[in-house]
Amino acid sequence: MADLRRWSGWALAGIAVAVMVIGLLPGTAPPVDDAARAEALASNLRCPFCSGESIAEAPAQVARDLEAFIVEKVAEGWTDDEIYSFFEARYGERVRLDPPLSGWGALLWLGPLIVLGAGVAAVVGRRRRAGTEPTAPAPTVTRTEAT
Amino acid sequence: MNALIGYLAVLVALGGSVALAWTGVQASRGVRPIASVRTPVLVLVLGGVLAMVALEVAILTHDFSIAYVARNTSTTTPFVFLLASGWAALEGSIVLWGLVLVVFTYLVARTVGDGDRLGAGALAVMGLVGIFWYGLMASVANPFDVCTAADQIGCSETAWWPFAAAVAPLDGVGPNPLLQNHILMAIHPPMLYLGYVGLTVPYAFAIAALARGDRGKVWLDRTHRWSLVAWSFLTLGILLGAWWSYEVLGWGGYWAWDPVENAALLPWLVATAFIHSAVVQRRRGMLQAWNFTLIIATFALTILGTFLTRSGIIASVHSFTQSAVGPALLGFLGVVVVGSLVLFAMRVQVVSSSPRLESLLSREGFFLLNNLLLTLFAFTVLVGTMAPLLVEAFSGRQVSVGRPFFDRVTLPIAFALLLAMGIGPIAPYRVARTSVVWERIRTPLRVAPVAGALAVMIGVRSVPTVVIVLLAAFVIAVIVRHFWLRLGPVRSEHGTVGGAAQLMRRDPGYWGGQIAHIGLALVAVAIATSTALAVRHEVALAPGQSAVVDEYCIAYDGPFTKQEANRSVEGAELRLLRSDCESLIRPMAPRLNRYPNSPQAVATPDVRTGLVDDVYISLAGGNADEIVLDVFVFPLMWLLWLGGVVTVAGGGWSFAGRKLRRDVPVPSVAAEVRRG
Repeated sequence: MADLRRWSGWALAGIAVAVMVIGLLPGTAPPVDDAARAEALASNLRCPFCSGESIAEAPAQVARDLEAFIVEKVAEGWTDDEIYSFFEARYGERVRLDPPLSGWGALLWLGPLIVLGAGVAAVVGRRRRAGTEPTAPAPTVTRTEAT
Repeated sequence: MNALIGYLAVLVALGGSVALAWTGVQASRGVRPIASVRTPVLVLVLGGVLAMVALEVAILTHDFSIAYVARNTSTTTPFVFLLASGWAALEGSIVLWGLVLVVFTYLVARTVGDGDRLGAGALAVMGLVGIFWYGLMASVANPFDVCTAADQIGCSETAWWPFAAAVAPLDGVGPNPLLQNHILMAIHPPMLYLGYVGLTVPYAFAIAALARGDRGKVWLDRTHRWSLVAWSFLTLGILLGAWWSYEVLGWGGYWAWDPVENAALLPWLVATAFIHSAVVQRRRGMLQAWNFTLIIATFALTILGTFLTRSGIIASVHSFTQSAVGPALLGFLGVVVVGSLVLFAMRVQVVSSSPRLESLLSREGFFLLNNLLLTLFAFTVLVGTMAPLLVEAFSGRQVSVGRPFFDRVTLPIAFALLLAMGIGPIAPYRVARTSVVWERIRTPLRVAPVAGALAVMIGVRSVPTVVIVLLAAFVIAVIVRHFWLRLGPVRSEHGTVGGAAQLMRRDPGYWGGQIAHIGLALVAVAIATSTALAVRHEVALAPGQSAVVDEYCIAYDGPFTKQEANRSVEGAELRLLRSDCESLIRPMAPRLNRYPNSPQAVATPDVRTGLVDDVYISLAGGNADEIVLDVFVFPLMWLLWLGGVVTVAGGGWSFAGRKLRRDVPVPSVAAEVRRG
């Protein structure tokens, strides 16, 4: 009986996993249409006359106008790069909220990776050295330890 | 008169700080008795409290001969916002900062008894910090600057000299529109400051311990509760800031990765790492040097945060001011960082010996993972926040780092944090046997997919969102299961509720932490689902028309205007209906608030919070014939606020519950081990 209960639990989990996999299969996701593209573009571009928000987020009227402009250009068949370049040429480099992968932007990506590498090395190093040294005497077990 | 009293109060506090730093150092070296710090502390408290009171009195009595009052308040400002004006603008915010520091100094001083040289040293450090803040008020950020030339409204010339011939304008300019638009602005800054300034206490003890060459964990034991108090307030402050952003700014969000939001998040992340690694040192003697590093970083980040917020160096919704305070803060930051690190380097030999990690699969191992992830998180946010400033400083190019970057890099870190949060707290110390850990996560592993499947069934199609839901459900299930099993033996004696209280009181640090974890898991779910399932529509309506948005119908009855004490209001009378456009849910009235001191109207959204979703309507534009509405539907938004409150409650329990612990009978060690 206990066995049956346990297996039914795993079976339910299995069904749940199946639901997730089917639901998230690429085929069932909505295709990337023009509206989604325009929205992604608008959220990657900074509204040049607002206080730091993206065109998609800023509540100002000018942001709505720029958003309409993006929708229009997407409908006309401009590529993402063309739209980014257009905005960049017009309002300067700072309209791009997503830093580039090269130049100064590379440091943004490399910096955290270096910190991650150093951190992992430090933790693993700690563990390694522990293996070669005699371990400290076992501390007394206290109440919380058992929790 | 107010100016004179106020400025004298600032000088008294400055004098108290200097005396405290001096006597504190001497007492800590044993040259003077510990009791000699008493008088300086009292002088500091007197000055700090009096300065805040003098400023509030000046504001409430409309003493416009004080420039700060003339520039930031007016006769039509409602009482609550008058009160809040005491800290809403630059100079006032520093007065509040000073007051909070003074209160913390007093509370610390109460714990310092005879022979407590470490405590005296910590008070000396707090005195040094006080010197900076009150020095700032006495010089470049004097809140009691006198108005020497006035227009009809507001003040055109000022002098810092309190005896200068004062001229009072007829009325003041009034607060910044954004700051008098919502009551939350009165509460958010004090909460944030209680967190920010509270972190001075563990920093002060750490520096005192380093200076004295103390090895060991006395400073940690003594500041443990202070850290938790400060952390809880900081969490609450950030939560209130997010809520304010959602209710007031009208862009439909609560977190913009704005540099100033990041400025509050950075010390929060590092302080969170600190309260975890402090547990490791207190229990296992590990990470001594690391804890010093973390608390120094936390304190430095609070100063950096203040610099970013208050120097006006970054264009953001928070940069209300530009002034000479910036360079002063930057200088102080430099002194703190360099001074602390030099001291640390001098003592690193003394403090850095500690037992080694026995196994990565252990509670300590997960604490290390938590620290690695939180440090990485903080570093990434720091780099992203500072990059535009640094690039501009070095090359003159203006660049941005915004949401796309932050969202992308923090998402994987959030996954890993949730996973660690799920397994870490149930992994035993020293060496965790795989079988023990497996036993404790087996059931939750079966529960989590069900939550994920539910998310898919209600329409989530984004993989990261489902992963977040999955992990959050896992975290909560692990905690609930663990609690339930621990509850078993106590329940027979005390009943379910009594037993639960008993259990939580027995180890408030642990269970408070678990409550905070549940809160954070809820926050993660709310962020993920509200982002993935948010619906946004722009709707143009003429009076009498209606439009269907998502599951709702919005009917526009017509415009209205209204004159309130401090502002004029233009709004739209709407009715929120079910999708049949007949059954009324409630009337709604998004509005534009115009303040006399600003040409720009503040768009104030109207939000209907519901169990399933929030309907968020903001007035985007229009004219007499037609209005344009920004309509958002955010599912499960209440979960975000609930999660935040639960997190704060967890933090609160971990320090307040401890006090109640003494009354609880301690069960025998053997019994606990059998249960474990």
